[in-house]
Amino acid sequence: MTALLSVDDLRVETSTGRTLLDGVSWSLDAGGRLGIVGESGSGKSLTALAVLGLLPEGMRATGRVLLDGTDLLTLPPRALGRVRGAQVAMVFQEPLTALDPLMTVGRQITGPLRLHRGLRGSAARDEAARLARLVHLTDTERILRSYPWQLSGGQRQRVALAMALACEPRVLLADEPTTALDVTVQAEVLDLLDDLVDRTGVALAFVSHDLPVVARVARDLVVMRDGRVVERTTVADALAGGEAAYTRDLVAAARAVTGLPTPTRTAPEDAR
Amino acid sequence: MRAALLRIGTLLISLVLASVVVFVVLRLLPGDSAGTSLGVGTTADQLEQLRSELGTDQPVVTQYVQWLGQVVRGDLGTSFVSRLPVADLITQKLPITVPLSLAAFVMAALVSVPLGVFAAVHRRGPVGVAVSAVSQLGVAVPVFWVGVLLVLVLALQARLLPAGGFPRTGWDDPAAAVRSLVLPVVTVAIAMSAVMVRYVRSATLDVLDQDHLRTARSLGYGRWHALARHGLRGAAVPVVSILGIELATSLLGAVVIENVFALPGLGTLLLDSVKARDLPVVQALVLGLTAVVLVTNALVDLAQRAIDPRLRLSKEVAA
Repeated sequence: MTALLSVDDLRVETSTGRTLLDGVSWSLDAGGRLGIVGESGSGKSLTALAVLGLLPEGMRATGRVLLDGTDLLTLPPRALGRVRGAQVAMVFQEPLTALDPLMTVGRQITGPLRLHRGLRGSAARDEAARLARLVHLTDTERILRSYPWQLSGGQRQRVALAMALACEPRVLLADEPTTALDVTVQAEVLDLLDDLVDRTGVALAFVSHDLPVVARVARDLVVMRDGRVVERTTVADALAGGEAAYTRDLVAAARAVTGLPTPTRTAPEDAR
Repeated sequence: MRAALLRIGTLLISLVLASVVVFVVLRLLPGDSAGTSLGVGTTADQLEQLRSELGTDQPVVTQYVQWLGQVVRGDLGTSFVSRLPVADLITQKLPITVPLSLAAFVMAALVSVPLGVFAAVHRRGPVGVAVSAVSQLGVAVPVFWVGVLLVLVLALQARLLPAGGFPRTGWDDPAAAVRSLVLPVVTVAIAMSAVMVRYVRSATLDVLDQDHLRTARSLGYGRWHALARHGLRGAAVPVVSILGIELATSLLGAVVIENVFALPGLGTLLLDSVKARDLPVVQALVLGLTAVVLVTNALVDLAQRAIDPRLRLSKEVAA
């Protein structure tokens, strides 16, 4: 299988010359499920931001980020704008701040529909309602008329997912999408994400510090530490005892805290 | 709607309180208008007679109630000095001061809002740094000094515009009236822009740092499109409040700047009336300025509620 998205020797440096990411490489197949784990500061979120060219001001990325053979790092801003949201979309950690507090949820979901698919008026509203149902929001009429701060954390993250999936992207980057949520809500959102990946066929890159969470949705695994990739493996192999000592430490730590189960879920190819 | 009525109610209470303060403070000032208008060498009888004519021999409370009753009916009293109705005196000056401060305000807003946003987006670029530095200088320099400098260069050296004064014909000769207002308007506008540009810049910087702007970028919006769609509304909330303050300041700034440019406007009237202890004129002007500030503040509050739904809606899901 050819890779849909491949990150090749990605380096990120600050303007003062500090290296934050050093030679990060991984690839994601169409319909693939990649987990990126590591402790905070390991550069996993930065990798996701670098893929979309959304690094904070003063940081510079070198290397290659190939989407279907096109290098996103060298793409001019306009062309990159047509990739963002339409081909590669992202869900962020904190849904309250990631959504605009001054705009109704409905208008925020219809934004990308209008931008990339040219939908407006009732066509856009109908599609927004369909997307809201897709992410299992109930009472969609009311929710679409609400502002983000009037919703619960779980509802907000569902809205963020609906926005990200609005233009049927081929890749979904999820940056700690459940970390800010309560444990029960976290489980619901993970199940939803799992289901959405199956139903829409979007390729998922799931970034988290939480190995058990990653294990629920991902099949392949990239372990990061201090801005480098420590090991590229699969979730199953890592749980069976990874090659790198650091991976084994992570697994052992996760087991000690949560009693991480041995994965039994089937590969997503035969789910549909 | 209910909140708007409530806000108007608060406004009315503030106006009444302001009128009490203005009235009482002016009575506490040393000096007596009867004495000032009659001059040295008057007899006690003459003073008594004038005081009873002016009503200043009555108890303060009686004077206040009478005055407030008149003000509500639109009668601002009669000048102690010129014996003309105060309302007429003020109306004569409005065609100078109102265009001066409004034009300065509009000019300052038109310059500083786009400039402040641009300086924030390009905060590390040469324009961003230059805007910061120049606006800092503009805040530090006194308004009248800017005025004097402009007069020196544009009026006395280049002879492009009059150095001061207002045509006797007033607005009957619009070209001459406008020419005489250009320098004062630019002077007040420069001073106001310096403050406003800094507020607009920092409000925009706050917005640019917000996560939801990054979300908009991640969905494909360009830098300016994302800012226009998701940023400016948020930045408008603090900017509206500084615009309100500056609108009021532009009226007060007119007081100083009319003096520099020898314009016979409200500011000049206020200064002359204070010197002459012309109480009815002074208190009408001070009350008027206070009312403008209070009304502007109320409008700012209502505008902010219109902009930010968090100020007007409950945290519950929309009905």
